[in-house]
Amino acid sequence: MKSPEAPLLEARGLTVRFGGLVALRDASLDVRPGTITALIGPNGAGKSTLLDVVSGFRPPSHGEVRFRGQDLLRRSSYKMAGLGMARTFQNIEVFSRLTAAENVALAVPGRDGESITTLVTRPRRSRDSRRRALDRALELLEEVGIARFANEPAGELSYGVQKMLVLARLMATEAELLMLDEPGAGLARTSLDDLAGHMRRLVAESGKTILFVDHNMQLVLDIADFVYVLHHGEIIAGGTPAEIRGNRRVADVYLSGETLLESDAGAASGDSGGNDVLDTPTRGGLRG
Amino acid sequence: MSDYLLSLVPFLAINVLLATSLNLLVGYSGLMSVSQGASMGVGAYGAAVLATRENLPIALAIVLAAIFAGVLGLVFMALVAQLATDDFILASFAFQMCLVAVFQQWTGVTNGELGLSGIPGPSLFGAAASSEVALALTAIVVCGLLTLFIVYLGKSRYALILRAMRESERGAAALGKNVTGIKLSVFAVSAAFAGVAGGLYASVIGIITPENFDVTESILIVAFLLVGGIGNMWGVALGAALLYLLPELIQHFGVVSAQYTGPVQQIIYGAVIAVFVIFRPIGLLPERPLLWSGSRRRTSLVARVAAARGSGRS
Repeated sequence: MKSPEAPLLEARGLTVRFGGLVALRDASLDVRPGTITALIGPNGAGKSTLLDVVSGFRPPSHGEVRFRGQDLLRRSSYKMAGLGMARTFQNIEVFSRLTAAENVALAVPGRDGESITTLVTRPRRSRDSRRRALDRALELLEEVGIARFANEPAGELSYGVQKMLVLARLMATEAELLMLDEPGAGLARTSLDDLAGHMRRLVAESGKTILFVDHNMQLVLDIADFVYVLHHGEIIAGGTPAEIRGNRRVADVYLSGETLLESDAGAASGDSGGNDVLDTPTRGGLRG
Repeated sequence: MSDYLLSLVPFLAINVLLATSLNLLVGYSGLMSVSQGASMGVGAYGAAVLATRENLPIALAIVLAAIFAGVLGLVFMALVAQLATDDFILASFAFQMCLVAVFQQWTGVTNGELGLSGIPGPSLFGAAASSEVALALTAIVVCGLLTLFIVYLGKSRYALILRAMRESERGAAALGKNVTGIKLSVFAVSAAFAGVAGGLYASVIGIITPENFDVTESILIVAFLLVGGIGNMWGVALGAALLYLLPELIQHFGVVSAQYTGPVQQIIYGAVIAVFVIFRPIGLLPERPLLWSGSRRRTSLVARVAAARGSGRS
C-alpha cells in the first residue's frame, strides 16, 4: 500500500505535438486520492488533450503517466477502466439507441455474460450478472434523479438529462478515479447545483477521486480542492482555489481579461453542446 | 404439392440461420458485411471436400468446415478491425470476392466452375436423413438450435456491448470494453454459423458451384435483414422466410413463364428491398431494447409525459 499522501495519478512532463503545433508543453500534475482536482484554462489551452493523455486515449510525444504508481502509457485505452479509472467525454458519447438504463447497465462491471465463452460455460451466472447490472443501473438513475427516463432511448433525452446519464454511467464503473470533461457545460443553474452536490458526495461518501475540466469558474472554485491553470498548453499555476485567486500570473493571463474568460465560456458551451442547452453557464466570474 | 412445400423446409431453415447469424454482426454491432455468402461457401466447400475426399462423416465435416469458416473470419477481422463503417463494407466485399475467386480458381480442390457433386446427405452416427421429412426435421433441429443460441447471445450483456460499440466505440472503450476483441469474436461466430448453414446446404442439395456463394447471395442475406428489421432476431427470421418463399412460390405456381423466372425473382428482390429502405427502413419488426425496467408501458408513458414537459422548457 502507498501512503495516503502519494498521488493516485501522476503526470510528468507531458508534451503533445500535432504536426508543428504544440498542444501540450511539459505539463505535470498530481491528483491526490479523495480530492477533487480541476483543470481550467481558456479554449484551446490543452485541457481536453491533457485529459485524453492521462486517461490513455492519446499517446503523448513525451512524458509519463502513473496511476497508483503503475506506468499507464502504451496500454490499450479499454484497460483503464479495469485499473480503476473512468472518464466522460466533452461530446458526451451516450449510446443514443440504447435506453438510459442500458447505457448505465453497460458500465456496471461483471465479466459473466460479457463474452461468448462465459455465456456458454456459465449461463446462470451470466443471467444473474445481467439482472444485477440492470438493478444497479436503476439505482444509479434514481440517485441522479432521472429514473423516470430509464426506458427511453438515450439519444432522445434532453442535453441536461444526458449529462446526468453519463454521470450515472461513470458512477456505475466503480472506478476510483473519475475524470469528467466539462461536466457543467450547458447545464442550467439548478442542474449545476445538483452536479456539484453529486461530485462532492462521490468524494465524501463513496471514496472517489475526481479530476475534471471545466470552463465554469464558479463550479471549479466551489468544489475543487486543487486547481491547475493551463494556458497555451502549459500549466502556469497549480494550487488551492484561494491561491489561484491570488496568483499574479493567472491574474495577468486571465483576470484582467475577465470578459475574455466569459466569452470563452459562452463559446465553449455553444460548441460542446448542440441540442437543447437549457441555460447558458453561470456568470459568477472569478470572485463569486 | 405438400411434397414440394416439404422440400422447401431445409432451405427455409438454412436461410433463417444465415439471417440470424448475420444479424448478430450487422444488426447488433453495426458492422455491415457483404461476405456472409462467402463464409457460407467456405462451410459448404469445406464440408464437401472433407466428406467426399477424406471420407469424414458429413456431420463432422460440417463442424470442421464451420470452424474453419470462423477462423478465416477471425483472420479477416483482425486485419480490418480498425476500419470505419463505410470502409469496412468495402473490405467485406473484398473478402467476399477473394473467397469466390478461390472457389472458382482452385480447381484441384473445388473443381472450379463445374463445382462439387455427390456430397452425402445429412446423417449422424450412421443414421441418414433419407426421407424428405427426415431431411426437413434435421434442418429444423440444427438451424433451430443454432438460431436459438444466437437469440440467447442477442439477449446477453455481450449483445449490449455490441450495440454500444455501434453507437460509440470510444465510449465503449472508456467503460472498459475491449472493442477490437469483441469485433473479432462476433465476426468469427457469425462466419462460423454461416459455415454451418453452408455445410448443411451442400449436404442437403448434394451439388455446389461457386455461384451459389457469390456476392448476390451475400446481398440477399443482407436483404433478409433489411426487410425483417435489422437488430430484431425474429424480424430477420421472418424476412428470410418471406424473401426466400415469395420467389420460390411464384416460380412453382407458374405465375410467370419459366424463362422469365430468374429475372422476375431478381426484380422482386430489388423492388422489395427498395420499398423497405424507402418506406420502412426499420423493417417489419424494429429493434427493441434488451433491458426493460419495471412495468415497461407505464414507465414509458410517464417518461414521455416528463419528456414532453422537459422539452417545453427549452
